[in-house]
Amino acid sequence: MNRTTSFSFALALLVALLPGTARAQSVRLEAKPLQSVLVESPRPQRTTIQIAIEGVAPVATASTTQKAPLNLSLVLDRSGSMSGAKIDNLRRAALDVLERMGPQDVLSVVAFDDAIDVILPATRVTDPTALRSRILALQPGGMTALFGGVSQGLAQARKFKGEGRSTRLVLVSDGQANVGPSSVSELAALGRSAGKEGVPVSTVGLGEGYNEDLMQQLALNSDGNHDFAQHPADLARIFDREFGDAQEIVATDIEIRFRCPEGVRPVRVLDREARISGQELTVRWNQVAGGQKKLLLLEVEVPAGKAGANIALGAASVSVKDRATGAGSTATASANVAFTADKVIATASVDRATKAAVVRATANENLKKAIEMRDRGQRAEAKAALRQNAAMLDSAGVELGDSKLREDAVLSNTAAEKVESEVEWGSSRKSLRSKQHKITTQSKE
Amino acid sequence: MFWRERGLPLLAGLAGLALVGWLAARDAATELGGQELSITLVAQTRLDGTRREVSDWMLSLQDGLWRELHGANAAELDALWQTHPLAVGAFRASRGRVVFPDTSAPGATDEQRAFLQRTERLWSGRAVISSGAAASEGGARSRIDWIPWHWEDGLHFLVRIALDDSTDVGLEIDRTALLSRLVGEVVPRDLGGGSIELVDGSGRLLHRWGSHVPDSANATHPLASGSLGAPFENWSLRVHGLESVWGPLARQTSLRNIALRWGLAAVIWVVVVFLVSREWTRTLREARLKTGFVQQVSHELRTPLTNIRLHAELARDGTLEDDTYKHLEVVGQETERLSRLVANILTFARSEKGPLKIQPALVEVRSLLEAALAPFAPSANRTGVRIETRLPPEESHIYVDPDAATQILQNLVGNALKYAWTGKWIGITLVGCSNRWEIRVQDLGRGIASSQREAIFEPFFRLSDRINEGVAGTGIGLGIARDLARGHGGELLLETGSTGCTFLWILPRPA
Repeated sequence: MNRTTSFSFALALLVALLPGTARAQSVRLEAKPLQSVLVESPRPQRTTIQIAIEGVAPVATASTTQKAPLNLSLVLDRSGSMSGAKIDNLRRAALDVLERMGPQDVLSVVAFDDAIDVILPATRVTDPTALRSRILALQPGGMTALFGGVSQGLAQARKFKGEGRSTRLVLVSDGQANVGPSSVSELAALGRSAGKEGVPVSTVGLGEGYNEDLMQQLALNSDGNHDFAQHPADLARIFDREFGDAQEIVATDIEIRFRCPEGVRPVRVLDREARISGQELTVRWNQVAGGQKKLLLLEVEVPAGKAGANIALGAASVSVKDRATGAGSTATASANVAFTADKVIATASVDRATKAAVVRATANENLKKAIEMRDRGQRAEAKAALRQNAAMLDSAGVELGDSKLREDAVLSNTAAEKVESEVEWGSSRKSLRSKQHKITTQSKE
Repeated sequence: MFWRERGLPLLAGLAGLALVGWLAARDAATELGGQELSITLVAQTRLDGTRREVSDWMLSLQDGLWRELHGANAAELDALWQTHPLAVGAFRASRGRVVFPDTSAPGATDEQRAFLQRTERLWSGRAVISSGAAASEGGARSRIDWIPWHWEDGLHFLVRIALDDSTDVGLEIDRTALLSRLVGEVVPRDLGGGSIELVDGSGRLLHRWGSHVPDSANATHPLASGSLGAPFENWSLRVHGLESVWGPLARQTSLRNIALRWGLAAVIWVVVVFLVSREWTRTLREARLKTGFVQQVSHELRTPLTNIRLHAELARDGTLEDDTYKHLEVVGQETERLSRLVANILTFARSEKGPLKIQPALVEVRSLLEAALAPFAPSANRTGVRIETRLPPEESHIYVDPDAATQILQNLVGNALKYAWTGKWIGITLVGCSNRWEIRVQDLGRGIASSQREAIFEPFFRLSDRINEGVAGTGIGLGIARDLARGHGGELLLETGSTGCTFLWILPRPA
């Protein structure tokens, strides 16, 4: 055994013994149980493990900038319904984005109605004034070939993918897709494919006429954001955030694995789809921004344990690709739980932040179910579910001193008020979807 | 008569125009038919071009898939399944048995079970797993197979690579993701304002390249359509809208060309018919006039001959000296008339052959006139016509062929006596100018309509109005007079006036 390998071995050992956290080059990995001490039980019991990553922003120096060069593809709806304030705001928002881009960035603009036009093929932004006129020439008319538009946007984004760029597609539409594939499942499949390619598709629904399920599924499956821009003026803010987000990306191609030892059974992940194969959970994320925390809540079944026993819940590992250098790196972390006979000790061991996350995820699942109920026409049930959800959020908020949970309670209550109204529900459903998406993907407001 | 002169050419003209019209219509029909054919051809070319582009794109996609798939073990296949943008499934089969995914293994996922369930039919049919015969060694492309099948929500695709005699690996390709790549990366060239639609087996529009949106009536009647080719056999391409964009333009242009072409033909035809018919009419008229001329000449000859015979007999049988003298005088006059007539006919015959011979000399005007007018004195006396001559004293001589001059004057005065005796006056004047003499023969008869001023000089022409009712004439006199006048380098004109006719003979005066 030479010196280098023995050093690596020692380092790995050290990392393994650290309590639950580890760092890859650009992300921090953390794995911890909801409560570190469980009440002893003769039967298996369930608990939750939080597995979190946080993007680590590189330290900026005088000579380097920490902002990621962008590869941004704007896919803009210019169907007939976009005329007026919508198209004006859209142009302005796109111009604002252009203004902030530099020669290191790549921009492409695709506009679609019946037809799909590549207004601006993927180009380095070396001459913004020349590109301005192309954006200004955007005119509304025709139907909505959303699928083709996104497909063309993806083709443009593909051209400059990698090379340290943070790639992103932003779709703005105010209507129902009506040319080409337009079912929710098809757009979800499109999103999944885009996500696997490493192009998050952020979708912005404009006004009251778009199909929020379709837009949200497209975003969700590609790890993009989804926003409800009730007023055209909201576009500027959303574009600004998308732009900033994309610039902050520090790591891509994130793969998290969590392996439970024999005896501990992984049950499910709260509020999101995940692949559990035997004892192992695998989750992939497209990208993470510096300072952004993304977490998974894994429900596990713990075997019967006597007071004083200490068992391992599992070990997490993450592999990421550094956005700037493209270099891969990994980190591992593990979580353990002890048993006690004292309920007070067990209760005191509850991690408040994890508890809040569990409540939020559970509430989000409830919200999804309530929307489904309303869609099936079960208004009374949906209303009751929302009210119950609000009550749960509120009490948890009070208990944990978490004001955000209480805010969510208010939102749930407001939605309950609107369930009965045919007019108000449309808009309410859109903002609920957008909210729900943000919670699921843990993206910024 | 009218039928032969006007009707026949008119009929020929109309028939020709009808023919031109028919030919033009046929030409237009052929041209438009050809254009439709050429639009269809262009559409077909676009279709074939797009199909080729799709097929090229598929080949490069297959190359990529080949690189990723060949030699992949179960773990790598699993990773491809999870990370490949197009994959929604993966398999490995060995010796006719699926070895991955293995649902009996402890780590089997629901996703894997679902994959095996939807592909079950393929395995049991053994259609997917190569039966042991190795695929040809013709390179990557030839060893990749696409297997489309239907399951629940529609068409699914499996790509398969035979690794060796007994092992196959493959991926299930997501239809939507594949479509998205296809429509994003294949950009048909030269759409020319038209559009190409991609339609699935149930007629649903998957994508439209180009900006032309066919209206609902045309949507199902493309200019060209055809299957996209393997593995998308039940997807088809439709070409629309070429005609609606450049069709009308081309149609307009070619119709304009046809109109121009055949319009020109029609104009040429009308001109030809007009010229031929004019010639035809003239020939007809001349033939008619010649016949009339012979009749007239016979008549003209008979009248003096009858008179000569009558008066000669009277003179022979008469008793009185005076009467005999009178009879002989008439015989003399009629003989004069005859010789004038014969002279005219001879001159006419000569003029038909070539230019008349004129031998001018200096002639004393007064005696020339007296000699020329003398034969008309008896007839003028009989009809009460006064023939008045006015000659300026300074103009005693003119430079003229005396025989020709006599013939001209006798023709003019003879006509005046014949047709305008009702005016009871004939005036003959001579005016000398610096370079010419103007000789006018004027009467106070009914005159000649302005439309006929030129026609009267045509040979055999005789006015068909009341002027020459019951008056004999050959119709060659004026023509001969003009020919003779022109033979002198001068001209004979009919002057316009308020009453009667004035014939002006312009005689050049030698310097």
